[in-house]
Amino acid sequence: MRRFIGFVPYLLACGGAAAQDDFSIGEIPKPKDPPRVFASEVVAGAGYQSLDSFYFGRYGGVVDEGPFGFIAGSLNGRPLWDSGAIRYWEADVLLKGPDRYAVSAAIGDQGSWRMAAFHDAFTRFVTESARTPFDGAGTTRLVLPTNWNSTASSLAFNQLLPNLKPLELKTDWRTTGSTFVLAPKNGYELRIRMEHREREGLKPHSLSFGPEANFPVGVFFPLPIDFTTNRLTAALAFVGQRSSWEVSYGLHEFHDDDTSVLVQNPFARSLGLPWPGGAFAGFPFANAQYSTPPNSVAHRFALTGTYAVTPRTRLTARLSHTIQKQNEPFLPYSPTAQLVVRTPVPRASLDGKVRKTFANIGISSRDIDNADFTASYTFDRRRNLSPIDLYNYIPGDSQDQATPAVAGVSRYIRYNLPHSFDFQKVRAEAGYRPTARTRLSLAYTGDFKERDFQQVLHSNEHTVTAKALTTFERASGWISASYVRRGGSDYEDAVAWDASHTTNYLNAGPQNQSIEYPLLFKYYLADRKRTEVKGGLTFDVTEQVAFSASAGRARDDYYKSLFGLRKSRSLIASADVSYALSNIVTATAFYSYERYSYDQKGYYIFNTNLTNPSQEWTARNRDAVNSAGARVEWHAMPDKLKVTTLYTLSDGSTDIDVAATAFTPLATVAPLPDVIAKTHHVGLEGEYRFKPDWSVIVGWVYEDHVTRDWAYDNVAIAPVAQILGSGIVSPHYSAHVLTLATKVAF
Amino acid sequence: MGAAWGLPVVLALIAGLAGPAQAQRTLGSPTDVKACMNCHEEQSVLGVFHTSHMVKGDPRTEVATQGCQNCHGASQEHMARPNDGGPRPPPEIVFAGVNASPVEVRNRGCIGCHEAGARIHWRGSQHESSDVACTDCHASHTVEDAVRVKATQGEVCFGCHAEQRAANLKPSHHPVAEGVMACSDCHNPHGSVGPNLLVAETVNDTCLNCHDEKRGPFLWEHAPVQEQCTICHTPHGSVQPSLLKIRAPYLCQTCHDSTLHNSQPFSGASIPGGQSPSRVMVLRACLNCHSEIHGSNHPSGIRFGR
Repeated sequence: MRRFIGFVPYLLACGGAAAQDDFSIGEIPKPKDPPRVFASEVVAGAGYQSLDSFYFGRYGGVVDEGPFGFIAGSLNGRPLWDSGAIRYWEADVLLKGPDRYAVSAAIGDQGSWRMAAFHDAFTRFVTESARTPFDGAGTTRLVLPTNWNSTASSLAFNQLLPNLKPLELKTDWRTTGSTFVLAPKNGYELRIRMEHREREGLKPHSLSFGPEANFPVGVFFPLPIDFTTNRLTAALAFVGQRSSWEVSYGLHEFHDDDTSVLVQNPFARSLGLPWPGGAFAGFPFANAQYSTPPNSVAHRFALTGTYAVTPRTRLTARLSHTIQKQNEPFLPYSPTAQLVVRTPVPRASLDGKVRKTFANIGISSRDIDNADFTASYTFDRRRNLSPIDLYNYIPGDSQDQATPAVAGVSRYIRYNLPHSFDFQKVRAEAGYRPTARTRLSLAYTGDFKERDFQQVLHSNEHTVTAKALTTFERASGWISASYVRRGGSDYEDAVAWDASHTTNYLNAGPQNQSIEYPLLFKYYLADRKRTEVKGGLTFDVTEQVAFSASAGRARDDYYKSLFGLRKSRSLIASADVSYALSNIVTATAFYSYERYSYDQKGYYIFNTNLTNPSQEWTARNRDAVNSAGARVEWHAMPDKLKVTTLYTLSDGSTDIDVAATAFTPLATVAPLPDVIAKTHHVGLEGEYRFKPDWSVIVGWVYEDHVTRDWAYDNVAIAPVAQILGSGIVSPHYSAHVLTLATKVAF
Repeated sequence: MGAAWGLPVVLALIAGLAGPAQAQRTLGSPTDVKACMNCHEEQSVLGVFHTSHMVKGDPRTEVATQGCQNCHGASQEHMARPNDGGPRPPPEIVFAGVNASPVEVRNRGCIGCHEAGARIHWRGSQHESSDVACTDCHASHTVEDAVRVKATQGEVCFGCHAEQRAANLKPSHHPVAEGVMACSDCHNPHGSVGPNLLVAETVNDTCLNCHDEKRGPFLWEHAPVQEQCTICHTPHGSVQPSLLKIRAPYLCQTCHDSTLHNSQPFSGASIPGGQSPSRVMVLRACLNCHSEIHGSNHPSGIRFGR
């Protein structure tokens, strides 16, 4: 359903693309009556869709087989341009099927004030193939049917299939807002914008039951979405001859109607593996209380200014401070009454607070002939001031709370780690123009980061980029090359581990030291070299034919990482061609090829040996995507009949190669099937204009999609012993949509 | 409650309809633009009379008071009748085609009025320094400028940004092609203080504009989430679920290799039908259990499972 939605609005918006700047004429013109110019259009019609498919209409489309209606209108009212009046109004409406609609309206006196309001609604359809044995889907209490027969393995749930119920997983997004702008004629402007957004629906989600070390189990459940967002932005701005500034306040409030979802454990009390104190808690009395996103609020104060030192040199600055707060009451460690809890949650709520400070100053200058210069400095600080406490957590709602003989000597007693950081960036770019249409530039960017509670506390990244661009009479081109090098403090694998455990626990024995493999470096923290080359050209082959192409290649080398992500590569190439024969035929086509490759290495920590080459493994992820499209617009009967055809293709595949030494059965590897996602989309539309202001539009859309994904294909509701799944299957459809509409312009 | 927010504006709109606005006009014969209109009768040119650029009552719109020459230059040679009967020379300032003026010249007229507000960081921005002309994206003569309409903006941006065009065709993408959102919901093409012309100061602030349920602060934070969403996600489109760069469990294993289950090599042997099917290779992979990966506020949620 991708392109179809955009089709009608596209027609509304593209009121002709003739060469508007071709002013050459060869003879003396004769006065003519000016033609009518239409400022408003309404398209209304009906369609028929050939199938039910959430995936086909997943982003605000129609998902049901059968007829549907649609309207797309754009109305504009302005006084005669030379009447001296300044009052104007605008209104837009979009209605497509039962789930997608948008209206907006505005009115104002140009240069004086403006008021606008809008309402926008669409549904994000996820899937209709999910199923669940839980009763209460859509509520915050999910319980199993009374005849549920629990076992330690989901493969033996003999009451699962009879109790499965279908689910429609989708979320409605509804946003309402208004803006008000007041601009007295003294350079000042007041802007107020309010927005209220509601999200409501069900989302596929999951949680785990059971102790961490011994086969916890994963359980799919439908998570209710009942989110509300309120936003207010108020800004006062001033624009003067040489300077301008803006001071603003922003309020961003998030509210979730739900605080938690109670999910009953469908698994039996034991998987057959002993746990201290006995088997872990399970059906029927064990529950999980899953925390939904907490309510939060953010306040932002910002000041932005600019000053023109000279007509071609400009200083800019921005300073903002943001306070984020979250104080949702804590849930208990576990809702299961049978589990022994001796140490209460240390706080009633987090009283979480983050202070963010952002500053940016910049200068841009073209005062020197044939040269330009820009420089900027950015400071981005996040201070998480949330209190740190010890939490004696219960893993997977499965066991009694730890009661160590020595205070703090338990893997389940942990400090929370509120993360803070300071990021700084300096950037400078100098450009030189040997000719008016050629620019050579050299840029340097330095990123400097300081973090806490992470394995690399200080890092710095230096980027040098050289770029050249030039324009000729019929062609233009550009090329850029970048070299990036990231380094920093030594990688300390135990930083977060040590900070989150008690000293008593860490000192209790070597077995309590960090469990992360010390030779693996998290890739976003690891030292890295990057080279990147990109370029593009456009060429007007003739007055009718234009060609453009671009390509880019990037290589990342995590040269100090013996394990983890070690290399990544990307190659992207695109070509476009367009053809225009007078006003009769215009055609465009494109093709893009992308390839992404990620090489990683792991170490299977199966025993205490950390240096056995046989325990090493490698994986290479390769994504290859071919994209193509074509569009032909044919004015078969000038000013009467226009035929438009559209085709797009997206053909993506993921190939994952894993290599390992089969020193244990779990290290035995086998080839993975490629993951494939391919979509063909065809659109055909004919518009016959009976009158200059009235036409009829007939349209047909065909879309074929197939996904093959081993994570979902042939995966039963209970695919392995430790999973109670969702039944979601990969999408696969072929859909036809026929439409008939009329367009009125006025 | 939501509809009430816009109610005052709607009432004002209804009241305003009774005002002097007129939906349909015929063009007059203004002396200052008559000469141009004699030849340039295309709808694509005349549409300018329905735009905010052509409002004589607004003294800021110099086009209305000074005519087409305000943007296209005095163009005396173009206006005069060719003596030799040859082709008429182009106007002084041409915005497209083989006679297009240098970008700085083309932009000068626009920037002269439009350098405040959202365009305050235009100078020195990526588009400015790449010689992008305002008219490369904007059509100032049309009532509906395609780049300012949500449903059509993507096509304009994709005209240059082929990588993003291809990304938006991938199975996991933000709904730009569907017209539900626009590129400008995340990017300010006129320059910004954030990276990659983002509308907000940082990547995360941009994402949280819509995905604010992930803002927190949470009791248990996942460090890379706070640092930058793009460590795991690629926002324009992916062949992996949820706009991920690499699919789980491999993405997770680029950072996590510990004595627990996550150090195991997962392969075709780990999927249903294989030698040792794993819960980590089906459905949501690692997220089958660690589902609150963006942060948890549950006292027992340190492993992001609550």
